[in-house]
Amino acid sequence: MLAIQKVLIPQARLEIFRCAAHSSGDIKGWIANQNYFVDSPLVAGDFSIRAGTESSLINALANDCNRMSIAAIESICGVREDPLLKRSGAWGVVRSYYAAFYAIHAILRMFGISCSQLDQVHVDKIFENAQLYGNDGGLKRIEKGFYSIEIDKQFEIIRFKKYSDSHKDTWGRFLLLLNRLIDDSNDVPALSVYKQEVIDVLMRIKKDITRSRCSDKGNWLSVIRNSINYQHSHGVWFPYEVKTNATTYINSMADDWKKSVDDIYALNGRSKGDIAAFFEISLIINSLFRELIISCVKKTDSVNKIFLNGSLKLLKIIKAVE
Amino acid sequence: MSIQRESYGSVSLVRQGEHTFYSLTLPSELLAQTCFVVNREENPVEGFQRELDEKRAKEIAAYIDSGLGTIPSSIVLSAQEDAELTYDARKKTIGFKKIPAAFMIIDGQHRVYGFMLAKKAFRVPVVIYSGLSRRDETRLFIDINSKQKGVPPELLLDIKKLAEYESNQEEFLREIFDLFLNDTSSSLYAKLSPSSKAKGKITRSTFNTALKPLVKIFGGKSEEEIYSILNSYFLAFDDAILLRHDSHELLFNATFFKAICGFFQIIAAKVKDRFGGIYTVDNFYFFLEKIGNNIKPSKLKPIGSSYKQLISSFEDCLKEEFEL
Repeated sequence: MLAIQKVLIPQARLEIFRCAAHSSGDIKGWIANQNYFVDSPLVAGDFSIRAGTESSLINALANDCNRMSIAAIESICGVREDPLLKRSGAWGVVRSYYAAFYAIHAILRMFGISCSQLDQVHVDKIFENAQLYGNDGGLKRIEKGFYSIEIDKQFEIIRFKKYSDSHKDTWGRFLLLLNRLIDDSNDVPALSVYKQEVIDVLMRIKKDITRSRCSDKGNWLSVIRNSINYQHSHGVWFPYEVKTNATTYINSMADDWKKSVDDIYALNGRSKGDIAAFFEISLIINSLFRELIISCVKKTDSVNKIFLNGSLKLLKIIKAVE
Repeated sequence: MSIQRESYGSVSLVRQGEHTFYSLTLPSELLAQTCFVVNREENPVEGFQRELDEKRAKEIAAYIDSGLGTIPSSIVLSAQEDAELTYDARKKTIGFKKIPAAFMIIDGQHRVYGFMLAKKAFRVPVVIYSGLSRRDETRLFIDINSKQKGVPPELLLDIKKLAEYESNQEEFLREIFDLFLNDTSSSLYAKLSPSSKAKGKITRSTFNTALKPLVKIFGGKSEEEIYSILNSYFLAFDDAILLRHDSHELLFNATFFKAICGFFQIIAAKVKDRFGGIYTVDNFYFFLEKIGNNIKPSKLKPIGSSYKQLISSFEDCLKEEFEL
């Protein structure tokens, strides 16, 4: 979709696709290496640090993004009908959920946001650095847990914000990103027609993930997955409900995600029923992820080996890219 | 373990204008052990030497080993602070620490590399400057090389800022070039080459040549404003004409880029007249779309170095067909 290339890609952290790979360390590894300064006082659950050298940070974000991309690709490729229980839909739902979940993790990283679980050893390294600069803010320590780690466009300031639920809050962070992209796309130098196309797609995804009382966190997919997982709802476990017809969607997921976002929206009418909507939303998110990563790579002159030997290679193996 | 100090005699202290240097001969193997060169590609901030041509260095080595050749021209070096260079005026000797990065090569990197590759050892005439800042070293590099052939203009342009030699206009164009280079929403992102020729990329030299005629119409606008206007124009040109004819790569062709820039003034005047100086992608597209509709695909080729022919083709496509 040309509009994605013209409007969303300029907003991405393209540096991660261009940098020369020099380590396999991810964001957590970067935190452990302490190549940063805590030059403002810590505040519990919400603080910023300043990067020492941008190249190691760019490299870390590249590794993070590649890792999540690989997980998304492998997950969606494996959404297939059960060979014995052909009407079974439960694991197709779970796998589709994780495909979308990893896809949003990868997308977040393309825009400079890493949602990561930080162990005590990681946050202790930040705290140690803060104490060195006299910026512990009166805290005894930083709490481990699930953090949104947002890196600015200059790869200079990194903001840490603590959340509690790794699934719900990742969707929440993705919703915030969608809102930001919807707003910022108006300011990108591009034809208005492209901006409108992109905003329409983003608004539709936003509407889809915030359905049914999930407007706060956009975690509708997670709610459905949990309901199916823990309450065996929606008739996708044995004995199967005819009306859900989960396998119809499961059989096409692994191929349809390779289509462009606008083709998928054109093919599917407004889906009725939770299961149909669930698979459609998962498909759209994975298709968007695929278009974004391919477009980011296309925009660079010399692609980072992390991606060349990682997610891009995987996309070529499964023939999801030319 | 203390570092060995070397001492060499028969040193002449030479003063030329503002510069002072030591002239002497040093063993070729010592040069190999104590010299380094900073390359612009490896260190874009601090570096200014061009990349090593290995073939050339091997030719020099072969020439030396043949025993028939002589290379009388001096290697020009800048002593680094860590070398702790000293001069004894009475004995006419210099002393320095024998460390790997004692001397930066200002001129003669291929000769020194050739000496490293050669089997034979011999004395080499050298000129050593002491106490130079990186700015002085860069200026010296420019001064020595600007009259010689072979140093690419792109490299000289790129490092002129380092030497603070830039004119105001060059500085202005540099700022705009750097915006196109670094901004991810730039129409030329990943398609610019600051310090050397690269296929499918616009060099700084081409960029400056293309934009210089436009400087007079920039008025008092800032670099950011000019970047924004030009970027909108290039994006619109790409959408309206190049992508439509599957010729996106022409935007990064030197001749075509000059033509696009040459045509800018004509289109910008129309945009100003129609939309009151609001230079958005949409407003440029309003006029460029007509060219995209009317231009023959055969015209979308860089014809040798004739960018003016291309500009004429664009103008022809814009002309309204008059009917009574």
